[in-house]
Amino acid sequence: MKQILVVGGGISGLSAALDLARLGVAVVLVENSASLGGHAAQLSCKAAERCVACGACMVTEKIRQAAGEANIRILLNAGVDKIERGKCFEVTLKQDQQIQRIEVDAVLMASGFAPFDPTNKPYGYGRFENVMTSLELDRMLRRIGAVNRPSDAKLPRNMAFIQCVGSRDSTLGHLWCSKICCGAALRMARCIQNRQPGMEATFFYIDVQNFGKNFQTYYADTRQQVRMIRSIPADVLKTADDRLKLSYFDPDTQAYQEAVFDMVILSIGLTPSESTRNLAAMLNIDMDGLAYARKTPILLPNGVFAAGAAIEPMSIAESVLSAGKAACDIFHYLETASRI
Amino acid sequence: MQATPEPAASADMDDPSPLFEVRTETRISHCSGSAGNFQVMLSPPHGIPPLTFANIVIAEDGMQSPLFSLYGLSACPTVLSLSEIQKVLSSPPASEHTLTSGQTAVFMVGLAGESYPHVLEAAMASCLKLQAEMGLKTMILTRNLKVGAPGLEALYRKTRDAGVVYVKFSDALPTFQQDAEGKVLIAFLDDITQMPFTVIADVTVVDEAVAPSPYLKDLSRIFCLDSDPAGYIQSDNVHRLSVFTNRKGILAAGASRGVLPPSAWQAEVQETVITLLSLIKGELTSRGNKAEIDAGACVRCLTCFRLCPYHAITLNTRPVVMTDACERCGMCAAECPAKAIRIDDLRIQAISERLQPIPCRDNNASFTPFLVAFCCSRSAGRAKELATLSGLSFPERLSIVEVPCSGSISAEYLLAAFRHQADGVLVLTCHEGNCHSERGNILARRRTAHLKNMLKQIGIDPDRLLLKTLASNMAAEFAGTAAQFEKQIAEAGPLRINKLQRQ
Repeated sequence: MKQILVVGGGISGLSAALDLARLGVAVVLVENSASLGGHAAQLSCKAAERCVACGACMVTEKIRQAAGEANIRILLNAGVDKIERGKCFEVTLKQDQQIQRIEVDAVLMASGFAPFDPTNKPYGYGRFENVMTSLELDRMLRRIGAVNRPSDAKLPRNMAFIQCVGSRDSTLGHLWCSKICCGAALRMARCIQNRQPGMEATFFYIDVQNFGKNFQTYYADTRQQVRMIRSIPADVLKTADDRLKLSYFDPDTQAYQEAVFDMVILSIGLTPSESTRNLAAMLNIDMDGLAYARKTPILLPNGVFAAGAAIEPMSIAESVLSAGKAACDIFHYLETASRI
Repeated sequence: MQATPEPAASADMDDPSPLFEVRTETRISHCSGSAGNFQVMLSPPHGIPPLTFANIVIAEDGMQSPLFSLYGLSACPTVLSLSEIQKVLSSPPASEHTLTSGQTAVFMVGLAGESYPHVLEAAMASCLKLQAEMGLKTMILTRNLKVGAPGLEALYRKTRDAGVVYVKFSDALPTFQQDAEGKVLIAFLDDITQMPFTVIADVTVVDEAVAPSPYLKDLSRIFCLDSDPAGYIQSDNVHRLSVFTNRKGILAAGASRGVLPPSAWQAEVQETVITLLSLIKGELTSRGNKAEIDAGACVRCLTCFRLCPYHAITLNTRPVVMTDACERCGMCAAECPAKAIRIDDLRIQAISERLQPIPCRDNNASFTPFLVAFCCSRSAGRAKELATLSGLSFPERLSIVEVPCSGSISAEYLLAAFRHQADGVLVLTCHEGNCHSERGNILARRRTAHLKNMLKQIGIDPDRLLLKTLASNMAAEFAGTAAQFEKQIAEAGPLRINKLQRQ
């Protein structure tokens, strides 16, 4: 029986592992955190009345399927310590200080992304409690089923969503659009409006990216519900009454404007993860700095494959597709390798 | 259009010469059967025995139509579509065309409607060539710059550095006036400076609307496939990811399931292959009891045939369930007017056995209501599991009955719960648009509303029955809904059903 190593237990790693396990390939799935599902498992459902097809619920099903699949061995709190290439890959895994060695025929990098840290942006993140990242907002809604201000637990009357924090930013060298944040923020804004009626949402953006199959309709509708301002705020300050003041150049009035909000959400971008870099270093893959800005896929050595946000920013649906592609490549590789 | 002929589908993977037969100028005229044994009629040739296929892949290409009329323009050698300019630029020598250095070329991308990253990419690549290699001045007019694809932000910066001018519009759009020589006068108010501008375009390039192939409409009818509002043969439902349709064994790839960039086509093919392999191995068949029709009781009203979201019921001389395609949603059994359909573990007797009242822990305490929650196993059932894992607490006397789909929750189930001394009954389904069986949650909602009416008529407070929608990751909401309902029913007091009501 052929055996492969999947690094990363997020939506991509789980999908590919399931695809291959079902075809009789033994999968060792290593996940560096204490639970499966990756970032997707931290996201909340963004349905208003209807499902908006964000895909966050899909991961629950995948985790369940993977846990019940005999061909998948799941190692949590585990990472790759060393990979040596012989006839196959000799991998040293470290799980809770325990070392174990396995041999695998192929390696799948499904090591996901790292969320951008906005501490150094002029938005008061880390200093003002009511400035949160989009991921933190998702976690809050998921944990308590509501959105309230961290400083006083009151429901926000209005919220600002600032897009492209850490994306499309040449000063950071981040020459990529993170792609999923427009959909996440607008769906989130409408989801909160549905649960907490009367909440006014303002969306500060550069360009709205497509999301979902019925984007045209959803977007037209959203423009009626959410105030759209094509401008990225210059800074965020705290007012004396514990609210947040944004200043921005308003294209409508051609002047700098100020607006005060109860909460500010930073739509943080996706960046390549540390474990992808480490893995690339172990496998002598030239990442050439940041692969996200590239047009062409990273060149991978024979027997090494990649899927999901380890390659570039991807939505949940795209990650599932990317995992299917990788699984097919791996299956083909294992079949042809066995013939030689 | 390609189909997997049965011999190839079942052949050994190592077979070096799989059967591959191509039929051109052929359309599908009819299909019967189910996964593993589809009988497909082709035309032409007419009248020959149908061909048998294990699985079917629909991979129709999409349609592109230039949006000239939406901008009030008409096509001419200098007013052309994006595909046309791409063709001109890719077939040397491009100089045969009237494009000359110093001219102004204006591209419209996503002005008439929102565009797509791969369309922007084509426009940017064309501009770069015109600007950097052929000495034209180029402009791109757009609403939202769709840079959400690999490398596009970097390409955007590169084109800007090369001198391509971008004008973005939020609300007001430019006006176009085309003269007899094909030059176009474009006038607009610039969003950023709020100044009026006019540009005379020597060459005007118009983007194209992307639409499904018209043939998909026929295929949707022939294969009984759900379409999305745009007409692609995959509904906008996360359970269909990536290439599934509502029918087992029929897959939709590429431009048959939605708008996909050409760069995704390879992945589509591979995802389709891996899905087919799993299908052939029988790995994607749902396990458990399937629907059975009692031939003696069936009155052939065909409700089940019309209702089955998976089209797992075929018509012989009477309706017959194609067991492999049945996903156990139970919609047919719940709706059958003659009660001729059963799924063994979803029979009312089996459900009733799961409805035994939970005794109060402390008999001296104040009233603690007995609650029954019927949960769709894909959504609320998983939310409950997650809530348990997260250490959330539930009402003391809450009995959970998981069913494969809320579409199976019949009025009988709900009445049985009340008969088994439930003081309140919850129906927990997925959100509309998220149902694996497409319409199960809608049926559940309709039945619940109907039963609430009935309860009212027999003197039972209809608020004792509550339907809520939950996703599988809504653990907090599951616990919250249950707690809130317990509070509400505790306030309402115990349900006392008299003999008359019991009947």
